[in-house]
Amino acid sequence: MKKSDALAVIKEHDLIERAKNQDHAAFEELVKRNQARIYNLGLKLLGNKEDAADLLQETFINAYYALPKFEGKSAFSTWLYKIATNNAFMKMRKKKIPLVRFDSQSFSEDKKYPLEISDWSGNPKAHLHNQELKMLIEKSVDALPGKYKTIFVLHDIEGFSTEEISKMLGLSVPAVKSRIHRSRMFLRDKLSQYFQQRVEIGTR
Amino acid sequence: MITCKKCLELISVYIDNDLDKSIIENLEKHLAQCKNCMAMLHTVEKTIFLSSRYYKNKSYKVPKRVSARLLYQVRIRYKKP
Repeated sequence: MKKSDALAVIKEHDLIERAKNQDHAAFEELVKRNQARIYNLGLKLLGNKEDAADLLQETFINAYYALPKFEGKSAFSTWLYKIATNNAFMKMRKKKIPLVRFDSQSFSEDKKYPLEISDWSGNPKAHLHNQELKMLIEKSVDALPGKYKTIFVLHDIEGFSTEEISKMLGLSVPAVKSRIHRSRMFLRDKLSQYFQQRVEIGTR
Repeated sequence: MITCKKCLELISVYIDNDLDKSIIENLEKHLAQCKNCMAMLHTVEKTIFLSSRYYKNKSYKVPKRVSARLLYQVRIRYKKP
């Protein structure tokens, strides 16, 4: 068995210990195991391959230097996400992407009651492959302010808990929950345009 | 009694199953009577379902070039602490 094959079966915890003791191959194995998650996170948060590749590189370089300080209180991937999201916020700031301010405040939560809300027709699965809807989802998530987008992606797509996100981003749990809620309401409002239009033209 | 406004505020934590039992009971009573809030609940659930499925289906491999550059950038740092 080659050395690289042997590394592939080692538990993450042991790899981290080895990497802390200057075992470079162990660190590279950690990179290999986690790079796809960080790269895909970068694509979602920053929206293009170049920035995602830069984010990936910066994250692992930071992780390399910070590894001696990693105490294993959280999962290694959570720790990496913390570094990656911080880097993503820096990139967003540089690009003048708003982090917390919504461009349009006029979504449902701010409107007067009672609201007239219609359910969307049919099984949502039937719409999954609709190109128009896909583009609208992408455009709408992208329109979220940076920190809301990040929290939405971490919670509803990556499956992190509100507690984990709170530690990752240094926010209180209620603040995380409130941002998840506002993000979902914002996206619901955007997606309802697609479904509303379908009801009107009678394509149920 | 739960108002529509309160119901709307609680929809996300309700979906995430993060509410006290007593509040859940009241909320469900309201939902059962209020068509609007029920529609809101369903459409928020569909929003989460559609967007999470969209991104889950859209997962990329790290391009070889990018991965190689990453390893190179890490390796050149080994000697200098």
